[in-house]
Amino acid sequence: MSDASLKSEIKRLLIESLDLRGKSEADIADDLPLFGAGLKLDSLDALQLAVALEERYGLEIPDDEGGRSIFASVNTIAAYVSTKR
Amino acid sequence: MVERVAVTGIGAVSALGQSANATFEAIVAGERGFRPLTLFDALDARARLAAEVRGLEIADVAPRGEAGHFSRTDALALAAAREALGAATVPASRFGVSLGGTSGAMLEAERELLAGPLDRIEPVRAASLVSQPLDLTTQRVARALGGARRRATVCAACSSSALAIAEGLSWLERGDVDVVLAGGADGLCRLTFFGFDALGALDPAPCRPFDVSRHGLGLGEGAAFLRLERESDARARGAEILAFLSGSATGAEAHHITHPEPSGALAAELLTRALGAAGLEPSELDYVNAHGTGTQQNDAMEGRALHTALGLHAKRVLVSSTKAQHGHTLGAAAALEAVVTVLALARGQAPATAGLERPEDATLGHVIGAARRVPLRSAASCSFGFGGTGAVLLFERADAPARERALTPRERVVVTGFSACGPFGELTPEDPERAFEPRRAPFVPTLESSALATLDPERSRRFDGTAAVVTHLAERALRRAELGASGVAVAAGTAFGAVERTVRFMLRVGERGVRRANPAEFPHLVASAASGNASVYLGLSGAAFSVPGGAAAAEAALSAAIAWLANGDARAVVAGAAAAFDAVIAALLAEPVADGASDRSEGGGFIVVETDSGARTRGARAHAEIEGPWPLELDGVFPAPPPRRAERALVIASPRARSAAAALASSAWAACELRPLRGTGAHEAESGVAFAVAAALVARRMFEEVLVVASSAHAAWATLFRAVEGPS
Repeated sequence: MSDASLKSEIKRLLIESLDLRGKSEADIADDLPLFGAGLKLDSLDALQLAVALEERYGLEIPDDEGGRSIFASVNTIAAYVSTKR
Repeated sequence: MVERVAVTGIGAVSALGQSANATFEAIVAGERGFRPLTLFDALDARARLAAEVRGLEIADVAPRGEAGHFSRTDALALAAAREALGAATVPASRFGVSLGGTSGAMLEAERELLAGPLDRIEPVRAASLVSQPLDLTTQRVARALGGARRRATVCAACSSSALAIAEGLSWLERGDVDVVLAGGADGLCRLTFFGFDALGALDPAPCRPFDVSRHGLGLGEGAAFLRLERESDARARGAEILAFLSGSATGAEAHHITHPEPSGALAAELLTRALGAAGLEPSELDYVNAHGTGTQQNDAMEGRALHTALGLHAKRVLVSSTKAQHGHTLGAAAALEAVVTVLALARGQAPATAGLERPEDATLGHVIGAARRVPLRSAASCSFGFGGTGAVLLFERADAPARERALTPRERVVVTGFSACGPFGELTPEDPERAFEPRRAPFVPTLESSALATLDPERSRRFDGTAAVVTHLAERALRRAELGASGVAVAAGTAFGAVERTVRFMLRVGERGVRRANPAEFPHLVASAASGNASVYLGLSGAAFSVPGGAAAAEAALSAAIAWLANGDARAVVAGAAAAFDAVIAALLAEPVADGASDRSEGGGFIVVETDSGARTRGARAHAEIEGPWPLELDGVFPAPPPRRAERALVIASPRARSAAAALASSAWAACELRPLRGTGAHEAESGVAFAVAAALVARRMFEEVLVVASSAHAAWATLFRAVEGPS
């Protein structure tokens, strides 16, 4: 899978699993911060996103600071998924 | 001078013992109730421990012939209620039962649900979720004790039973009844265990509230009740007074569905208000039984709140969380901890927080190691829950001097706002009669999308249909009332809660395991999620709670709302009921209509109620005045006054409200025109719609009086809406 299509898939996963009603892929830039500012996700979303990523890609998201840094943006999630696949 | 309310009986069943005394003695002995789960398989959950009640046999508790129907929660509740009531019998007409809870018969429902295929929903396997709603426990307890005229069920997640106790307190202060059993009950179930596990909120080891190394909460189960009566009644019958329930305060943070607001502003305000209600200075508070769950966020928040509310006294007041011993019993927690607090006062023993070695905040008066034997004058029990609603109950020792308390006069209640929606569209003040016009099934479920469409998509993420309808209708009713969000409570009547969503959550766990559960879903499955979501969305700072009550849930919610106005805990309450289309409920309850379509529909209605003086002070227009709601007894006197002019009065009744209709037939209201709401389709929130229609009809002087009657399987009610005197 190309980098662009992986990022596109991650954005769709974000929208579906986090119930981001009214948002489309175009609203989520690759480097948009997901938590705090940007997409304004919260820690409940982080838990939900971890479940969704683990299920889709069969990987483990560590439950620590490292785990949180993976969720910085679509770019960082894509990088983590690429290295683990 | 308001009479004090005395605690004259206590009952508790917990992992630590099957009585209040046994539980308390285990607490002061330092015992902890956490053991490996036996009630169900923990599957792949991270946590494996829970504080289960051991040796509970439903057949030993349930009345003869009922054991097969009783849930674990029912049995826990009845055992604790019997202990609290004691040997004395109370005439049903002078007796009230108020119960808080969150999970009801979920354990039993799960067995059916998980016994079949997990990859698809077969509604028949979810039948228990519909046939055993939360309020059934209240009905069963009341019936087993000989009946109770007042029966209330409250769900506000982990502060449920504190709200139930506050409502019972209000009944006694207003003289509705003479004796109240108020408390809560929650049996352990997979839904809550796996849900909290998915949130990462469970400590795999026994929990350590307030410790620097705390790592989450430990779940427990149980039930507890207080027997409450007015001091003069208790003294007249020579009853032993264990303590006084001197004050209560409830409110909501309107911050987040699960995260506490970090500064603890609400918790501090509630403690201050509860002390004020009791007429006590902060320095007179000797013990705080904290919510103290053991999660990072809760315990830090509570510590800050104690400093804010108590100032320098925060160092001296004794603080502990007994959840480290009996576990977090969710809907029963506030009641169980209230019983612990009463015994702490009565015996002069402040329990320690088990497992606490290194307090994160060493400047608080934590009780560490062994229970402290010391005279305690007054004590607070604090509770906070998902959805942001919290409560503080303030108790005083039995020999506390009586204090002057401001008398709150029994006030007229007026309606300052209303809203309703359904297959008839949105109720408009200009055309309130449209809800009477017949609509034909099928009612395509479009309400969820239309209600959601009026809400900000970012802030209404994860709302289900019920949350969307409650929020949408509350927003419209408050706008019509020209009322801000401060001090506004929301009481949302519901019949079943989020059944379809709960089924999906559980089937996913059954099929893929706890590690694949949807953590963000879980906080939305408790019955109070809809009101909590509305509170957070609209910024409402009064308590937000749901009131289970079948097809008369709006009446039950209004009854609670009037208690909240009477005890001064809210300046206005948005009260009513909402029902969203739920595929599982529809499959179980639909009755076929002409062409084989389903009659199931969705909708709801809410009214904003305030005291007459409150509305006048802010210059608000009163659309209607309310009397009631009165519980109807089939063999009793019809409680509503007769219509002033029968030709100018209307009765709104659902054709399905059969027991209410029977009571009506023998009253003076039988002479009035009777209209059913033919535009709503079939759902359980119809009487919420009727409330809004009644308010709109009398506001336009289309009628001078409108009586709304409704009944569920367990209760029938009448509510009178009357045109407000004077120019309109």
